[in-house]
Amino acid sequence: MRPHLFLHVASLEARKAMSYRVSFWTNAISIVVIGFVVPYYLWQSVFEVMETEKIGDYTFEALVLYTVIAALLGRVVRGPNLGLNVSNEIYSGELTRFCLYPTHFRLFKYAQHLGGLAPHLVLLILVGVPFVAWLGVGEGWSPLSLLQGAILLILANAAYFLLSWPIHALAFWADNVWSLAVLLQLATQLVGGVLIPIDLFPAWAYRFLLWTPFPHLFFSPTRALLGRSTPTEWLQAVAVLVAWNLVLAWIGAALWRRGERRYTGVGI
Amino acid sequence: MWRYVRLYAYFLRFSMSKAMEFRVDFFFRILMDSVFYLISLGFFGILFQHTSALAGWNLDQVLIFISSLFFLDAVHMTLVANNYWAFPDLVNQGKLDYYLIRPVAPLFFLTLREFAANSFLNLFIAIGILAWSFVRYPGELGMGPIALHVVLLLVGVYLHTLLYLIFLIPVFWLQHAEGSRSLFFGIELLAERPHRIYQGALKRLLLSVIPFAVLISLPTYLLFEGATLTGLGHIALVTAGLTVATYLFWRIGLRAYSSASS
Repeated sequence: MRPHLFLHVASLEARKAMSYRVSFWTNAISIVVIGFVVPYYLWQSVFEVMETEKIGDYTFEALVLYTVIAALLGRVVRGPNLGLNVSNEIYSGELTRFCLYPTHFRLFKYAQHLGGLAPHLVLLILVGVPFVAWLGVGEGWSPLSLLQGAILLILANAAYFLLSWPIHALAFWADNVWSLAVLLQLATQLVGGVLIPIDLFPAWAYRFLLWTPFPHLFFSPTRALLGRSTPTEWLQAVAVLVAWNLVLAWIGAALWRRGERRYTGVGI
Repeated sequence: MWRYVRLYAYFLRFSMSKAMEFRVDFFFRILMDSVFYLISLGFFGILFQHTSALAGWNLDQVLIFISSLFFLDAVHMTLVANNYWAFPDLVNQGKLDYYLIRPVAPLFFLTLREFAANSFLNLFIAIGILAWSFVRYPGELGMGPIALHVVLLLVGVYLHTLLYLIFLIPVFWLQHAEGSRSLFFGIELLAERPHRIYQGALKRLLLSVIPFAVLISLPTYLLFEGATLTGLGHIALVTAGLTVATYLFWRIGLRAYSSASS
C-alpha cells in the first residue's frame, strides 16, 4: 500500500471520527467517571482504612493519576471498534468489495484504525493534561520519558490491533465473534493494568505477566509516560512488544489466509 | 395480562430456535461472561491484598455484593441487553413503526422481544456464585433476609432497565446512540462499587436522581444491616419516581420520531 494512500485513508477516518461531537463529549464525561471518580473514591476508602501513606510504590495521588492516564491511554491503545467492522464485513459479504480494491486489506484497515484514534488522542490531551497539572507527575518525569511513553504507545496500539485481528478472522468460521472482542477488552482491563497497576498484583503473577503482551498494552506505557519506568523496564517492554507483535502478525496472517479459502462472498 | 404471558412464551420459543442457529456464538457468550466474573473476582481479590475492608465491608461481604452484581448483570443480559442494543437502529431505520402499530405495549415489545438463551446459561453460573458467597459467609444471614435481597435485586434489574432506556431515548434527537450508551456504561461503573465509598453530593445523587446505588449496593447494605422501613420505602419511592420519569421521557422522545426518515 502506497504511503500517500495510507495517510489519505487514515485522514478520512480521522475526520469521520471527529464529526460525532456529541459522542466525543459523552466519551469525555465517561472517561472522567471511569478514570477518575470511581478510582478516586475507591482508593480514598482503601487509604483511609489502612492509614498508610503508600500502597506498593504509590501514594494516593500517584495511584489516582495512574488510573486516569491508564484509562485515557487505554482508549488510544484500543482505538475504534475494529472488531465490530471486520467480522461484520466477513459475515455480511462486504469483504468482497475490498477484494476488488488494489490494496492490502490489513494495511487498509490499519490505516482506518489509526485514523479512528483522533478523538481519543484529543481526549488524552484535553483530559490528561489538567489532571497531570493538578496531581503532579513526580520527579521521574522528563521529555525523554514522554518520548519513551509515546514509543510504547505506538507499539501497544499495534499489539492490540494484532491481538484483535485473529479474533475477527474467526468470523470466517463463526457467525458472530463480537463477544470474543469484548472478552479481549474485558480481560486486558485487569491483566493490562487499567483497573489496578500490575505491580500491585502478587509477585508471582507480576513476574509471569511481564512476559505476556498484556501489561505492556496499558501498564508499561502509562508508567513510562509518567516517568516511573527504569531504562531496563522500558527496554524489556519494547522487546516483549516487538516480539509479540511479530508472532501475532504471523498468526493473524496465517489465520486470514486459511479463512479466505472458505469465504464465498455470499453474506447473510 | 394473560395475552402478554402467551406472547412472551412465543418470544422464548423464537429466541431459543434462533440461538441454536448461532451455536458458536452461544459458547462465546458464555465464555465472555465467565471471564467478566473472573475479572471482577480477581480485581477485588487483589484489592483485598492491600486492605482489610472496603467501605466498612470485609472480603466476605464484598463477595456477596459482587455476586449480586453478577446476578443482576446475568438477568439483564438474558432479558434486556440484546433488545436495547438494537433499539437505536430501529429508530434510525424507521423499523420502530412495527413496534408502535401492533396491539401490544411498545415498551414491552421493545424490551423483552429477544430472550438471550446463551446468557440464560450464565444466569445459572451467576446464581451458583451468589449461592456460594452466601454459603461461605461466616455470619448468620437467615433465609428471610436472603429472599428479600433477591427480590430487591430483581427491583434493581427493573431500575437498571429504566436507566438504560433513559440513556438510549436521546437517539430520537441525536440519530446516534454510541455516545449516550458509552456514557451509560461509564456511569454504570459507579454501581459496581459499594456506594458508601462515595461521599457528599455524589452519594446523594446515586441514591436518588441517578439511582445506580439502589441497584445492588443499597440492597446489599440492607442485607447486612437489616432491612428498615426507611430503606425499603426509599427503594419504593425511587422505583415509582423513575418509572414515571422514564415513561414521560419516552413519550416526549416518540413525538420526535418521524418514521423512516428519522
